[in-house]
Amino acid sequence: MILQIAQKELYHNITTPRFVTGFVLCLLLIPFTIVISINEYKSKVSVYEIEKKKADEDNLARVYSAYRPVIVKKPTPLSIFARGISYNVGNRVKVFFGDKPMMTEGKAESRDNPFLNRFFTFDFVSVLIIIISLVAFMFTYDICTGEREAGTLKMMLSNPVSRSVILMGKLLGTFLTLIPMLIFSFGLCMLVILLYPSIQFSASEWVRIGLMFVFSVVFLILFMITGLFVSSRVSNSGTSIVICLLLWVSFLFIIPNLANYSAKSFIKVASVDNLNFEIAGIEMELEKKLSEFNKNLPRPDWDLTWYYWGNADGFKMIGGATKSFMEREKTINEFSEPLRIQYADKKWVFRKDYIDKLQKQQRAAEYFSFLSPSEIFKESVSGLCATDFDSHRHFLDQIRAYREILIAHYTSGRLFGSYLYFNQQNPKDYMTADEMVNFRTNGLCKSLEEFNSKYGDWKYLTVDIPNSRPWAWEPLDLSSMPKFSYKQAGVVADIRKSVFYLGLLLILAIVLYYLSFLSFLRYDVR
Amino acid sequence: MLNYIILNDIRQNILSLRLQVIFLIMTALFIMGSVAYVFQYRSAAEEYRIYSDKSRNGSAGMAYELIRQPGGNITSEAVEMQNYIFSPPANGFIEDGKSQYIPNTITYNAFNVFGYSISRNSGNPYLILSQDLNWSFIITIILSFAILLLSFDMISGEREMHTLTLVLSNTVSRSVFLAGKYISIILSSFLLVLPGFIISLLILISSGILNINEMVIFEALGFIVAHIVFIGCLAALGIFCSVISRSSNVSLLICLTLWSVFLIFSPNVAVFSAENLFKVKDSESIQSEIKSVQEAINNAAPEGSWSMNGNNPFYPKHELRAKNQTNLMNAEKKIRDNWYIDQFTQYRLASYVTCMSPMSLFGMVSESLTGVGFDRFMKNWNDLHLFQLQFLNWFKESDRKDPKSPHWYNPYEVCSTSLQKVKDEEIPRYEEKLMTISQRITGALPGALLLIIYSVILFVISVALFNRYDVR
Repeated sequence: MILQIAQKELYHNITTPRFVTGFVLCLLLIPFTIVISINEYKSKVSVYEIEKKKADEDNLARVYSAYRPVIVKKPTPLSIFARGISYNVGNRVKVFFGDKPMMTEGKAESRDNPFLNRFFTFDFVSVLIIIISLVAFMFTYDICTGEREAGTLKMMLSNPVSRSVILMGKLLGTFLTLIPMLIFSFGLCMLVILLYPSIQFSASEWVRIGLMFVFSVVFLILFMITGLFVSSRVSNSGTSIVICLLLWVSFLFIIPNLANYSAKSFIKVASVDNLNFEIAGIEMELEKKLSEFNKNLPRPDWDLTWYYWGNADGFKMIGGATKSFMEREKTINEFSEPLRIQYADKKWVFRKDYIDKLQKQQRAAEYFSFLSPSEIFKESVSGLCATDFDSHRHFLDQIRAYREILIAHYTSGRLFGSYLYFNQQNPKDYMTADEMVNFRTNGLCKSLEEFNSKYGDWKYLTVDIPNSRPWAWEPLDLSSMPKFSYKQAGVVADIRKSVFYLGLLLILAIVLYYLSFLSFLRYDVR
Repeated sequence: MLNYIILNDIRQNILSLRLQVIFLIMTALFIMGSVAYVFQYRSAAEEYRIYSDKSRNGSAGMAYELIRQPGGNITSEAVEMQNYIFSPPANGFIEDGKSQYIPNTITYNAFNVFGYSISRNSGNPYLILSQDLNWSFIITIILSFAILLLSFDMISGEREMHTLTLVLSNTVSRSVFLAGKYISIILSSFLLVLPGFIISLLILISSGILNINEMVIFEALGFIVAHIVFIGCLAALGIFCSVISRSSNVSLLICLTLWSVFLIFSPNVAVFSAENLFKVKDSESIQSEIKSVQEAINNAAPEGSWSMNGNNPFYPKHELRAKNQTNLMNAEKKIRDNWYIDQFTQYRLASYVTCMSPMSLFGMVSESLTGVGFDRFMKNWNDLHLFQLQFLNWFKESDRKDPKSPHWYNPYEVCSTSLQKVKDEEIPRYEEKLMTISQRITGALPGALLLIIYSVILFVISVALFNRYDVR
């Protein structure tokens, strides 16, 4: 009996203009959306390729103090479906020793013309939400009220058929009407993506797309049952549609924006200035300790070097200095590098506080917005596509763990205290100041004192120290260094949170169905 | 007769459930939006104050090496890269023009205005994009939906209730009747939001962040007038949908389809057309173009153009160095300025594409009236160019008076111009001038006129269709 009612419902619905309108909406809204998302993804990929090339060049190190790997995260094609925060954050992180990575850097905007950000475009999941929920309400707002007004409800109930059968049948029929629209939306999306052969999905990504479809079905059922519930509570189609549409606008437009705006306004984030101020304070303390240590070391016999190339985070390339100068540098590094790593942990306390406050604001916005089932669905799909906040945090956590591994490798290999940390000359060839003056003046001068008093001009230093020019050094063999590889969370891990929320949605749907059923039992069919 | 129709309809509307529910929702939104705005504005203004208290903002994101002398002197003031960051607008409760997402920082020194960027200091990159709950959002999205809900069954609903025949059996012409309906929708919608506006203004005034001056009154009143034009356009659209069909369900479907299309379709089409039809070079190719031009200049530069003597400004090679740096700056400036103009044009063309949607038109009108968004940026951009010339003149004048300067102007470095000390108060500083009322009105007029044209066209077509409408 249920199937018969469902069949009748299906045939009836197909002939109404709302059925055609649903398909027309899909056809109008989805293709443009996908094309724009694909363009955004492609520009992200080209930025990734440029940054990867640059990172590979930067990662060639001539001395161990230059090796601070730059890690670039590959954009996922699933970001075409759900944008998440993947276009708010950069995709590049440099692993420093003196500081723990806090956030990603790099070009975040996917559009070259920043003024185009004024147009808030919709990604696939947003458009899907709008179409599916609207169409679900369009078909279910008059499940009870429409039949009552047409007079056919009392005729149906005068037969020996129970009210629960009728309700289930009508719901099933409506479901069978709406599934083609959902399939059409996904099909249209896939068709447009097929037009771009450069976009390939891996096997696990296909699984995620399949799961996205399953989640959409749950979402569709929930909105259908909501429409059914409203219809069973009122006696007039006009009232029913108005309530449904007001619910629709609230769920889709009011609650998400209200949630974000309230979170931004009421929950304070720490200011970057404050953070930088604290970091500057810690760095001053570090500087004091380092200069104390430097002061207590003996001066080298010739306090200069011919080639010096230095930069942040302990990077130094020194060439052509005397033995005592080199030894002094080695001693400084043995002390300073582990100290800087210690101070990185101190800085991390403040950095973590900053991120925690940002996270708090984001979580508050998220939980508030979960008043709307469409936001729950959107968040679940973002989780599936690995473009939500949790997968970003997962990536950063992996980088921090890698940094620890790299530091451990340096420490166990005593790389901080090796000459290769800053120089590629053979340590056996290091000379004292006098030997160096003798060598460089080609025997003209025998000692530094003699050189300074009699000659004084560097034009007499005609001979170059072999292998002392840093830019002529070959890049080091870094094959034994631990390399970073991004392990994306498996499908199960990504959907754990989503499955929980979708379970909630399913329970809500069941509860609403039960309430609709109770209302329908008392429904006045005259 | 017309008055009677109007008053009758308004009375019916006010008593209807839908208007009451919509009224509650909108008033709640106005209250929540205003309260949240008060908190948000206080913290944003505080941060901005702290930020601009330091009289400099440090070097820009572009990687120019600065050779700074300790202690401020005229030249270091002139060559230091400064960032002008836009202050948070005080009228952001009306319209914010997505100001957090479009460029709000302009980098300049006395010799050149280099470029623009988005300062992300106070945003949270982990939040997804969302709109602020300001007046513009409430009107553009919620009120437009409400008007469509009110008007979709003005004609087709009356036909289904069989009251249309009864009304038209009176001595009232169809056009007058339709006009009465149209005016009643406009007035009902206005009554919906007027309490919201008043409550919102009261909350803002009592919180102390809004000081009543001429500009604020103009903005609030201007926005209210503009929103009446917007209501008129949407009411005409609603009546049009209602008159097209004989069944109110179909009218509703058409209304909802049009609303969704206007909301979603127009920004997507704008970006699509910008990226495919009005293409602009991407930043990577601009960078490589600049690099190759600058390499050519460096290779052609005479011997000694890179020499430097920190102690002696009159070191002869400094003149070559200054010339080389100026050539480098001019080459980069030419390429970048052309690129910027292309970007501005691309944005403008894309925004013209959105003119098919009344929501986007109203957004543009309210942005012009409140002086935020792209218009504000362009004003600051042009004004900053003028200021830069004045700044440069001041620098050159002051440098001319110094006999210890060789007057070899170098746009990036302190090496061959005056090292006179200068007091902070004497240095010219850029101050933003708000757009005048007449500038704002001229900016908003095209959009408002287009909305009025849409309303007139839709209403005329509706009258024509209604004259043939089968009222049985």
